Amino acid sequence: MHASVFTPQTRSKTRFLDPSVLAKIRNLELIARTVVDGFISGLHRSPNLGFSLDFAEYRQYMPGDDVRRIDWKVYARSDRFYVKEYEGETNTYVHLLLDISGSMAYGSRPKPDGLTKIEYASYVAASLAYFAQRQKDSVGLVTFDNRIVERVPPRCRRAHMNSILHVLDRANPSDHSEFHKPLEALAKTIRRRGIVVLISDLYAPTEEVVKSLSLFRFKGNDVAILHVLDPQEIEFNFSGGVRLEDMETKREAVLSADEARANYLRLLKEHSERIKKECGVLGIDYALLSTSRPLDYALYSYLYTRQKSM
Amino acid sequence: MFQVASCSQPATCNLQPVTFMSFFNPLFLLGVLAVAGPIIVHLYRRQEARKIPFSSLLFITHSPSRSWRRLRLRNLLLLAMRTLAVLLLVLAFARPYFATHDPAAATSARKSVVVLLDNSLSMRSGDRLNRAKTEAVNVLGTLRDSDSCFLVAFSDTAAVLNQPHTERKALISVVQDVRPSFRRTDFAQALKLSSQLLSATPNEIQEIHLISDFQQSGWNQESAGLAIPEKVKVVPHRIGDERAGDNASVTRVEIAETGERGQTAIKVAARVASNQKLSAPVTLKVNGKVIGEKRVELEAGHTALVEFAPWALAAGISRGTVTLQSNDALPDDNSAYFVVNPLARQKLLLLTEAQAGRRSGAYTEDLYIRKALAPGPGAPFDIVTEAVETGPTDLSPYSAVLLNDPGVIPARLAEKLATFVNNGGGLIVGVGDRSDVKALNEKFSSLLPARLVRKRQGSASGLSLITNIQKQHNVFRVFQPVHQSYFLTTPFRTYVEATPAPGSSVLMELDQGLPLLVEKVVGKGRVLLYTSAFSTDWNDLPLKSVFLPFCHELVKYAMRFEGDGDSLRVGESVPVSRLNPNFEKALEKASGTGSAFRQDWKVSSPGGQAIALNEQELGSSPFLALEEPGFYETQVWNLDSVVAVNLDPAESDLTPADPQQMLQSIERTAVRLDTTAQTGQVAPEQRAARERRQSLWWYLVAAALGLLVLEGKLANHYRATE
Repeated sequence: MHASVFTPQTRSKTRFLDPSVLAKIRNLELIARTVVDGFISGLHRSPNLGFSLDFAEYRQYMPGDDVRRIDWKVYARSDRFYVKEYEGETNTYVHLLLDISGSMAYGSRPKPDGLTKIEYASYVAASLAYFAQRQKDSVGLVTFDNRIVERVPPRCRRAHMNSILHVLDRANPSDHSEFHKPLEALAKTIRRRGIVVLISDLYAPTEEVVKSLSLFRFKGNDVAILHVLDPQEIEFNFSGGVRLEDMETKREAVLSADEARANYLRLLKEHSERIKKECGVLGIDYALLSTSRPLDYALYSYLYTRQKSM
Repeated sequence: MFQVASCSQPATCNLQPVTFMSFFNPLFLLGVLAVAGPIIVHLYRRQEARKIPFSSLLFITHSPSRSWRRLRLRNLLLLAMRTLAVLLLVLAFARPYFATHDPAAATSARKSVVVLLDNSLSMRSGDRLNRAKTEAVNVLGTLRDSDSCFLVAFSDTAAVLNQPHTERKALISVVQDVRPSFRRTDFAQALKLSSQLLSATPNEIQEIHLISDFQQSGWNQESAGLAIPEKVKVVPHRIGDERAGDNASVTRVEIAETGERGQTAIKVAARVASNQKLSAPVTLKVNGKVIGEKRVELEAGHTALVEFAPWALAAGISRGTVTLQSNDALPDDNSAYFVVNPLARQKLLLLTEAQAGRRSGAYTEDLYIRKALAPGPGAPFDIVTEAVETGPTDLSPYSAVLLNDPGVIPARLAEKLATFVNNGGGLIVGVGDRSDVKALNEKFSSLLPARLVRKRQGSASGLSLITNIQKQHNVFRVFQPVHQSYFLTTPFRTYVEATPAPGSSVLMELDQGLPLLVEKVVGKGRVLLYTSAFSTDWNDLPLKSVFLPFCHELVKYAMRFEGDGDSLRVGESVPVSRLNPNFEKALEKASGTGSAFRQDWKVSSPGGQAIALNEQELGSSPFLALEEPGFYETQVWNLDSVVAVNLDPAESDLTPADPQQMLQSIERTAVRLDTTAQTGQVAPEQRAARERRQSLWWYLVAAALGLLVLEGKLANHYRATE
């Protein structure tokens, strides 16, 4: 499987993966399937994907396989159902790290169209888990805030997906975040190399984030950061006098939004660029995700990282 | 706005006047609730500063406190400006005004006051009028803003000088502008007007302040019968001393023609009166030249007749003045004026039987009427006697004809008399033994004011008496009540029963309601019918002293007598034709030709003022009020005319009356109190006048609009800088 230029912009926009549409689907599994299947079918339809899955081998059809993968020419020749197996469908350990600190509960757009960050992150995590499972990867999930909240060890069984979705459903952002402690603890438990995907809003000092992720990198894992932010966090479109309350610390700040905007955006940019830079030095992939953007962008980011691991 | 007075005496502490704001439309003050609007908007906008949960304040640095404080101050400033603008508009719509509240006065009801200021002739004495004005100003000073006040200047007329709620300053100015008149005094007119003015006001307390020298002569019979509501308080303000000032006056001028050796001469006699012993010269001027001087010596309270030597009558109008050279309290009445116009004397034609009466000798049936109307010194008119049988061919030189007991009446005479009367002449018909009732009815059917029925002897007792006289008629005005008794006690043995014609007026009646003197207007003239005789054959009236003046007044009325040289008085309103005979003819011609004929005539007053008269004014009211003593001169169609106007001699008597006694003689009537006056509320028109004077609302609206404009500009500026 070759991962050439990773340009998700070349893919035509599809409403199918629009988060606001997905937000109306309450079933996480269905969302994940919808996102992934749509993504994959889009990959197949696009001639210049810049990204392809090369055919590796056939295997006999098993109940539960996607019927679209049946090679009908083979069936015509053999009267047996065979599905195509693609390159990349090798068994890899995928560790999904989901930040469920209090700040992840933020969402600027009202229901039902708006998604909170935790909801969006959950969709991403579910989609990635589903996608990884389809590729016969072992996927596990860890939710954390200032400690590990819940952990699902990596498995590749089909039923394992339910455990992951169940944990995602229960994710309830409440406490404050702290990266180092939980991630350090997690890094000690990972024995086999794989892919570590951190899904978080990264509200922590840059050094703390990088240091925590470097632990995984040093063990030979491929690390990707999906930096999830709300559009309001990215643009800070408040105006006039505002009184903001930190969702984790409950600290309040009364300020003139118009006067504070410039400073805020500067600091945010500095933070994300520094993380990106530091991560780049460490070979950690970084992608900024707005909760208003379609989820396939997240999948693209994952796939890019996935390619490198091969 | 409230003046808080510190006062050592608690009883009076609350009696200090305070100035406060009141409102013409207080209900609009409910609009102050609209102030909630900007406050609500302000609070709504403040919701943007409500607590907003945000993921993390990691990248939030606090705004400098100074800018936040500045932001808050900006919002508060705009809120204050909007709130103030709303408040100003609400106040403006409520129409505020400032009023002064006098607590002491608040306990009492508001007053309506009439200030009567005497400006009659007697007030010219010394500085009486100035003192009266000062007293009037003092009275005004006792009034409050809430009181209403009428200023009335009075003499023999009363004139209201102001609107009821005029400001005090303006009232004082009006008082200062009052000028003395030459008119006599009549308290009754002034008090009647005052009573009428006060009856139209709602205030409970009503006062009349009478400021005068309280001249006795101003209190006449009509004054004695005056009635004023008992709630009206009359406050006299006496100006002058309790005793009469020293005054002498020329009360009357008598003119007589004398003819000696074919030359007409005029003899002038002046009556002089004085309330003090007097010795002073009296001069006679004619046409500005002194032609005679005499000295008069008088005891106090006496009169004297000063006779001047006759002077030759010159051609044209002669203007004469008799002046008493006396330094007394009222110099204005020391002169009397007269005019001698050779062409102006009126003539009476006496038509009577040429034959002698039933008794020979000196007596004839028309003896008494001839004697009564005989020409002589002091005769008001010329008299020409002619026989009925022959009669004159031309009646135009005469102003009136007296047809006394005619027997045979020539037919042409009746026609001439009819034409004469229709053209403005006067006709007096007296009956007697010679009169043929039937013939008179036939010949003068269109003229006689009554249809003659038959001759009658007196009543059952053989005598009839006069039972009714029209005292106010011009014929009887000169007679005092004592004189009227002479009429009422005169026996009438014979008279002609008559039935008054439609449109006629019965001036005297005998018992049983039978007309004795009847009048009728015929065309431009008038006819008077006397149903008894002007002789003692039928009644004893010729034997009474009233007979001569009765005959004179009868004739003067018939001929529309234009008076002696000094018979016009200041205060009279005379028809303009009295000033110049051509006025009437000119007006007749103007009315005949329509509006094409317009001409302004002028009357020169004694003071030199030219009083303009025009055709329109004369058409509606052809009268002129005589305000000054002296000569009024006119020229119409090249006919010059001068009339002399003199002061009323009664006004020269400066004897004062006791004001209290005078006022006590006024009848007081009970009047139902107006309950609305008890509410103590300021009259709406008074408040309205006060509010109009101040016009605070305009300033409030202007301030509110200015504030809103400033607020808009400021808000836009803040928005641009954010």
